[in-house]
Amino acid sequence: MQNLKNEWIKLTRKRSTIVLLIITAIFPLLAGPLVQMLQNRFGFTAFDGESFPLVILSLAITFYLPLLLAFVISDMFAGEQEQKNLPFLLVRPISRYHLFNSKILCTGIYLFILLIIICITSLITGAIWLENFTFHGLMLGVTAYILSWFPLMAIGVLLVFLVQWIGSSSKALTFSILLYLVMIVLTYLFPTVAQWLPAYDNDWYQRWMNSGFNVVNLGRGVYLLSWFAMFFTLGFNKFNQKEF
Amino acid sequence: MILNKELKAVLLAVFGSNKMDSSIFLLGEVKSVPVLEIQNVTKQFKNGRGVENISFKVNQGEIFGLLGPNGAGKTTLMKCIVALSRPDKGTILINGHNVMEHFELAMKSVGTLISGVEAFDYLTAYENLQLAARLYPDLEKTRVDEVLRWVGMEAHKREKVKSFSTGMKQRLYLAAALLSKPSFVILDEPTNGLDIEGKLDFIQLISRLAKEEGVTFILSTHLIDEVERLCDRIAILSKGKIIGEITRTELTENQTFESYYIDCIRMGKEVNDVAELKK
Repeated sequence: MQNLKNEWIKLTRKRSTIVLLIITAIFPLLAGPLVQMLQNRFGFTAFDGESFPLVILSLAITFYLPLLLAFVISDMFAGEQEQKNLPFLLVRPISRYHLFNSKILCTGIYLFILLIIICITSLITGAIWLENFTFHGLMLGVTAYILSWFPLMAIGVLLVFLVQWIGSSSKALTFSILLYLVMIVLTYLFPTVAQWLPAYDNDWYQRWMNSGFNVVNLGRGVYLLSWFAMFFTLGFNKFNQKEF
Repeated sequence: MILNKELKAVLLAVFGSNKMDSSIFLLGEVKSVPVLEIQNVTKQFKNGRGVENISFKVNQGEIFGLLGPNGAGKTTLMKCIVALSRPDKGTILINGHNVMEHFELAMKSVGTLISGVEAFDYLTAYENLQLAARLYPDLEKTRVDEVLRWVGMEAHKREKVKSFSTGMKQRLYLAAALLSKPSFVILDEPTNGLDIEGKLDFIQLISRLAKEEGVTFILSTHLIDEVERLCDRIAILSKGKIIGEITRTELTENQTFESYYIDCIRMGKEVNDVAELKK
């Protein structure tokens, strides 16, 4: 895994990555006081300290995190191909499998860190600004954020597979966003069709929290794992065949 | 003499794989294996360009020049050697290892500079070399500074690559090629963008490494003066085919690599003209 450090350094040396990490941290911190101000002004309580991290997660997992994921993946694969950077490492004694693997792993770690940042900042905001912040709510929040990594990574490997056909990061990003929007629209318009797509599992954490460990949730977990394995394999196959 | 597999296994265990890279032990003798062996390699693109049925060997300690006009297929062949491109047919062996089947093993002691490959421009020169250095676990920490000094880039090591001129980038790529203490270096158009001083420095560096450290080089270029000064043997590539091959010792008194190259290209053109007329 000697290339994992390389991928991480490449990712974190980009100004856009740092800016997005800061925005990720700031958004829940600003949302907290805003929600409290609105609730005080209009005299109702829509969110409390316990539900606030889950509301933020719901927004992040539906819009913000898939966008960031598409951004990172487009840059990591199509972007490096476009800039002719990829062969700089491919001519070293590292197999394409290890290189591909390290890129996926780096994406997974980055996504996990984003989730943790949102989790911590939304918990802090909930604790400081909103009422009814409990230990139960804290544990619920942490579990929900960790569970959300799985469906997001399933979407991620699908995007990795698809961007292999695109030789420009901007085109890859546009395509990824459009594809994700189609998946979201399908989820609302045709729920039976959408069940086959990983975007259907954006609320996976809610299903776990509502019904816990049961056959349906376990089956869905196996489905996500299969989806990941299938598109990881297809993505690597295409990556391995590429010529530079 | 038939290779004794058991003896080879024992010798491998005793000397380790590195010692076995360039020589295969036979019963009663040590036979040198070519550092690079290209066997009937063909790579054709949809536009008709590419290389066809290329075969040659590069022996240990040699500086081998691959000479040809623009578009002759030099970079295509170089990309096939380092598996950036997949040949349609044929075999490429580096130190006896098939590049397509045992890539990591084959590339362990190889340095490369391929035309058109870019460093990460948002990183510094030092960071770029560190990325490459991490893929050679046994490399000393001081090696990055050492190769940067060799190519005259030490003063610019903390500058981002996006601020570099073409010549500075080329120096950096040469440093990246020499980073791993390679026994075999593949250089594709290495002096592109270099000024006169840079070219002289390059020629001196390559000569020194070949003489003092026994490094083997394959050098692809369309610039005859580099070849004239450096190479022990050349092959002429034209329209995807090898049309001539000669060593320095085979040259006649009045002949230079340049005159040989011109003769080959003219002859190749004449042969093509006759073929065209026959059609």
